[in-house]
Amino acid sequence: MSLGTAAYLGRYQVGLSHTFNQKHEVGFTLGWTPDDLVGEVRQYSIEYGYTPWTLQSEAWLLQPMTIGFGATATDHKEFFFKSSGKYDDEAYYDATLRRYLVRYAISVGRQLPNEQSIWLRFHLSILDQGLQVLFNNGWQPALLDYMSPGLSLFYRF
Amino acid sequence: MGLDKKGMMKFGRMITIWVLAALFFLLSGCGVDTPFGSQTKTSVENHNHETIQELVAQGAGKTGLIRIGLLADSHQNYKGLEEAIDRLNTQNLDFVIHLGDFTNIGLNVEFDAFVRTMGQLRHPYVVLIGNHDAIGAGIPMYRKIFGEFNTSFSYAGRKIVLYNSNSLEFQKVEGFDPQWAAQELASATEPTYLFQHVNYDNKTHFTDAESADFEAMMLAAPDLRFALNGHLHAGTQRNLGSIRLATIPRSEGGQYAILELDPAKDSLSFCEGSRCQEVSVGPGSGF
Repeated sequence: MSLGTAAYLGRYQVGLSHTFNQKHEVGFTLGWTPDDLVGEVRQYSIEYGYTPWTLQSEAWLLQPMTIGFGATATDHKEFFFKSSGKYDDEAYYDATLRRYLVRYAISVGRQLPNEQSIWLRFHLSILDQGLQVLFNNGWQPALLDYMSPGLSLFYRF
Repeated sequence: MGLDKKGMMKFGRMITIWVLAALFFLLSGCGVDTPFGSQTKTSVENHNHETIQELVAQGAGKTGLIRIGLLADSHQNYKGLEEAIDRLNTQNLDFVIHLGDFTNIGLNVEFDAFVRTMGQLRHPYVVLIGNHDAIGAGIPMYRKIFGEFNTSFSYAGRKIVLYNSNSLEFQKVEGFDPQWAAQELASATEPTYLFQHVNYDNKTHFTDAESADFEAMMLAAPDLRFALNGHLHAGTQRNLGSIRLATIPRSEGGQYAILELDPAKDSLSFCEGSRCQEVSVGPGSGF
């Protein structure tokens, strides 16, 4: 179970995830962002992460690298899956209500009794559009412009 | 896996680096929380209004040749936009107008990337809203960052009209106002230059009757010299009576255009890199 912020998943997030063999992790996150101009934005995200190493020193834990990908979507009425049919071609615009992410994370944890642990995780998410820009025209600053850092606190049962 | 003393030190260093990196990224505000909102990294607000105020003051005592750089439909072709900006920076220009579609789907991160890229331009610039910039949260973001959708100003004895022609994207929001354009053109007392994103005769955006009305309004304007648009990506030009109509090419591949307003003759050149070719010759600015 996690609480988090930013990294393109919303300003305030609550999530549930399951870890297999300490290496594979799948999760679902609900995000919420208050917005002065367009009203509140709700977000629904799914993620997969792969963590090759978990280092331990006494009760301290470190996962230096988690890499993964995810998808996030909103139900905000200003964003759409298909453009609203005002154009001759219904698919004139790409869908605006869903985005895909590539993520990197580094996590520090503390082992608790009964195999439970508490973790602080720092994420960097790169939006699909940033990768598209990078691959389409090799424009390196896309990596900075389309990147969002985030932080989450999670508890492993 | 367990760690020995050496491993512990390495572990401690990693934690320190991680904490410093986390603080750096979080404090530097280098990202937005969600791609679906209007939150942006840029602190720029009301850019067009501020720039136009400076231009009006700068143009008050100026006469003679005016050179305007034109960009359009850069979308996510930032490399092409940078190439065009590099060339424009080598030119002697009064200001630059971007004719809209500086994003693909109006995302906040696209607004940020565009503003950051345009920051490399050494000339003052104003930006029209394009149809791609007006979806999602694009309309309120444009209003916050750039300002009014329709505006005009006088520069060195010429009237510059920046008109929002995105009829389809402004059906629920105020900002598409052909009557405003009609008044601006009809009341002009100076040679007038109209800039819009969507061409007035676009079959998707306008009915034949709407296009005909707009055309009649342009022809009735006292001294409309040029009507320029983006949206179609390929550079074209034709005449409507004595009015020159032109589509500015998209900035992919470093394309841009130069509009020269000269008392003897007006001219428009389409450029790619250092190569420019004049594509139309208008009447003299005549003052």
